[in-house]
Amino acid sequence: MRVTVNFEPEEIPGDSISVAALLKMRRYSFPLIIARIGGRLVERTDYETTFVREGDEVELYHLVSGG
Amino acid sequence: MRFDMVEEMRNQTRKRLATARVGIAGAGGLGSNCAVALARAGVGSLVVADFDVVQSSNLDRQYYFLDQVGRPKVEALRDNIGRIDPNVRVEAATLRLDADKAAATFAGCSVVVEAFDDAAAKAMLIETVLERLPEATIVAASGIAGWGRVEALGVRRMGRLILVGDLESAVSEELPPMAPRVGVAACMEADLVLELLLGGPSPQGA
Repeated sequence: MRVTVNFEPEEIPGDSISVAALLKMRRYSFPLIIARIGGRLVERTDYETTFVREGDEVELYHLVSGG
Repeated sequence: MRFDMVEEMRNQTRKRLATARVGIAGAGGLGSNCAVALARAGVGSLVVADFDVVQSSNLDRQYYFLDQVGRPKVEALRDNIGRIDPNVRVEAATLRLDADKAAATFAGCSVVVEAFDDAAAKAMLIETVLERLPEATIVAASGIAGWGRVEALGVRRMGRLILVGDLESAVSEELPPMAPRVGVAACMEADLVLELLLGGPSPQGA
């Protein structure tokens, strides 16, 4: 399926992938992420049960230390 | 624009800022500089929370002075803002914020600025504001270490969450936080707060 991740088109095998699996695939460190699908925030506790599907616009932002 | 209209607009702006209450979580490089910018801009009430004391190693980027080393940061910051504008109300909370304390401390704030150092703390605060303070918008920072490439600092607007930074430059031994970039990010956060409080950016070319 084709989706966009952080505004870049991306081809992902299969017709859906959980947010957790997508983060793993992209090697994002797990607890410090902001994830949105189609502009909607996905809560951390829902990463396993929320699925990205064909055409979805996904945003994944890393929170890194510094302040 | 006619003079009396300009005057009226200025008064409205001043009034909106003077009656605003803004939360600032953390009084380090981001928080202290952001708080001072907001105070100078005329924001009437700031709620600042931090558990730490001023250390000499903070003076390379945080809005404190040598004679304040050893004092709780929030108290030193309240004094510094008082010397700029005694009309700004600073509620100084010396405490380590967890989700419950953050929800209680920032209740009634229309905007909360995330100004922590630690990434896990940033995530905690963002989730707390989004889930437990439905009236508030959170302005957070991620990726502000180092120097140069200032154009990589961006703004991501996601409804009630706005993120500034390059989202990748974590602080480390090789990539320390430096005054210019931390200050830029702190003032980007402050500028976004003004935009939220005033219902949008200033008119272009005005």
